[in-house]
Amino acid sequence: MVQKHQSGLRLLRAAGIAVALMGFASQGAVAQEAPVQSNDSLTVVRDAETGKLRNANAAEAAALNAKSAKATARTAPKANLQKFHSSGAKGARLTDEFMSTSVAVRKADGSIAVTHGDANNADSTGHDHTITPVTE
Amino acid sequence: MRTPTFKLNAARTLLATASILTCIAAQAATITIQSRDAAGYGFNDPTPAAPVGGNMGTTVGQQRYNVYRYVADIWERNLQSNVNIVVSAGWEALTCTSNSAVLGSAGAWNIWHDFPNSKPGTWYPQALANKLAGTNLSANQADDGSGYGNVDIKTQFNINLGNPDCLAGNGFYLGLDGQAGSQVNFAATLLHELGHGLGFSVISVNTSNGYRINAAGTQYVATGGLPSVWEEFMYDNTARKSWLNMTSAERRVSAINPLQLAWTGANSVAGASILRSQPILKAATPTGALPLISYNASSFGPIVPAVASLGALATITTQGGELGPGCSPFDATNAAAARGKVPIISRGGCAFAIKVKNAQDAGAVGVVLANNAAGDLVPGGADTTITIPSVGVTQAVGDSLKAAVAAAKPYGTRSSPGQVIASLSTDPSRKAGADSAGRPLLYTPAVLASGSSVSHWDVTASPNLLMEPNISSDLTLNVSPPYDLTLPLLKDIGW
Repeated sequence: MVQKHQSGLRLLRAAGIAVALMGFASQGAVAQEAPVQSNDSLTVVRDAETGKLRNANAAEAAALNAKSAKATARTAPKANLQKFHSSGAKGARLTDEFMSTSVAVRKADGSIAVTHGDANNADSTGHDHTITPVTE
Repeated sequence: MRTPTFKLNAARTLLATASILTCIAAQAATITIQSRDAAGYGFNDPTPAAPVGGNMGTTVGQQRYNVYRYVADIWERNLQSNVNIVVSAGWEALTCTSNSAVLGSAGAWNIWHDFPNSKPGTWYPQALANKLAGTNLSANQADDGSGYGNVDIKTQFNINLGNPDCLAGNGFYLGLDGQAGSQVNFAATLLHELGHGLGFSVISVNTSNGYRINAAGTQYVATGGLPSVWEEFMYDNTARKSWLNMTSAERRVSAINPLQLAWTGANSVAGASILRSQPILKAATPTGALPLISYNASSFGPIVPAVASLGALATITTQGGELGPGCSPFDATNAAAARGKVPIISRGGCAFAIKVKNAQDAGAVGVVLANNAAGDLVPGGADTTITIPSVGVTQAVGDSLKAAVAAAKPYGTRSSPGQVIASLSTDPSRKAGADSAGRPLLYTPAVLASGSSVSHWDVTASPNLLMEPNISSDLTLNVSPPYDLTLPLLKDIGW
């Protein structure tokens, strides 16, 4: 058993996989109205060299938080949903396709232009009063 | 006797109704921000942060939330509703490269039609629908499983902005004072996005084909869909009809009809008096050689003065082997033509800044850049060594300017041919960003800008407006005149 356990540890080390034990007590955050502060001491990783658990450093914590958030992120709905109200009103819950998107682009002079459109517009060059956002 | 009694009763009823409506409408709006972020992430990021620009939060997460709250408070002060407005907010890993990034997105998450006090058969964003109905239409709706299915507005912003692979070094500025410098002003961006969510959007029309969402709310349809509450106020000066009375095909054409789609709502038209006079280029001599021409200043070079003599216009010829007009250093012939004058150079072959620099090196005192395709033109680019002004005009205007120069030559002498002296001025009868009737214009570039066309003010507006597609660095966080026209439009649709 010990050998098997250590073999597993070696596998984990070889793969460079850090195992995080996250504190999920505060993750029911969907309905909250104010930020809930987490405690970084709840995040530990298994050290790739020693195999022992230790507190995550800042970079590891950030990476794990990002993975955690991605893993727990609710999947945005893909289709409209019909709604009905007792008054006779009819409605629809929309999807992300209906959202207005803001995009930032670094211009040739290094400044940042903020404009609107979709991700495909990310190569546009916006500036004050841009009608046809072109440089040539 | 009956008639006066009836009139009296009717008047009382009207007064009572008006009084009730006034009471309902008089209540300031409240906005709740509902986080979707997990612990330690987004709003809950515990990374220590120094207070910045009036934002006293001590962690990144707190500062993010403080900006949301600050912006929500601005909207609360400007809107009235007796139904709480719920904004779902999350920080997510959105599309990035090292030089560009999706900052975020937002919009109405629910829409309704045929609720109490609505125009019949018309789609409204939920926050406005709730206000008009006097009740939360989604109050008893089961959630869709997302946890935010019934909110009024959904927002998400880029958690990675400023990281090496996400617009490296240019993150969100979380101050509240507008001093964003090279950062992205998050407060202005969020104010703009919440404006969309509150109703600054023709949300239920697909601008690529003009289709409307059907009454069931399930799909866009070519015919039989319900109009957006926006459409009665959208008047196309070319088609001479509002979107309300157009076919899908007509709406599709109108969405790409530059400078011709006006907003007719009374509040916005009245507010459009804040727009400045339209800058124009005209012929000082010979008088009347040119019509009054609208132009757009280049984004590089010195600031183009509002009123000034630009100089004598000149034409140049295409040089052998060059990539496009003005793309190579001017040869002797073109240098002689441009020296001390303002050459008219057509677009194409190289960057505008290269053309202007070559003209400057040849001794030109200014440049008129003419489009080589349909549509208006604002020349973009960068070159800090350019010291002469330049402006962009349409292809048709460029052709007329060249023709005017050619026509003027015979009227001089052999040693001093006739010239067209151009000057810059303003047309007090026209407003920058409005049509000839003073109605503010919506953004309808000739090439559809998905997600941007129609649902913004046109970029010719001056001063810059919050709901133009480009968020300008000189914006204040005001939404009403004399600074802005966002609130007048929202009032036009029922706020």
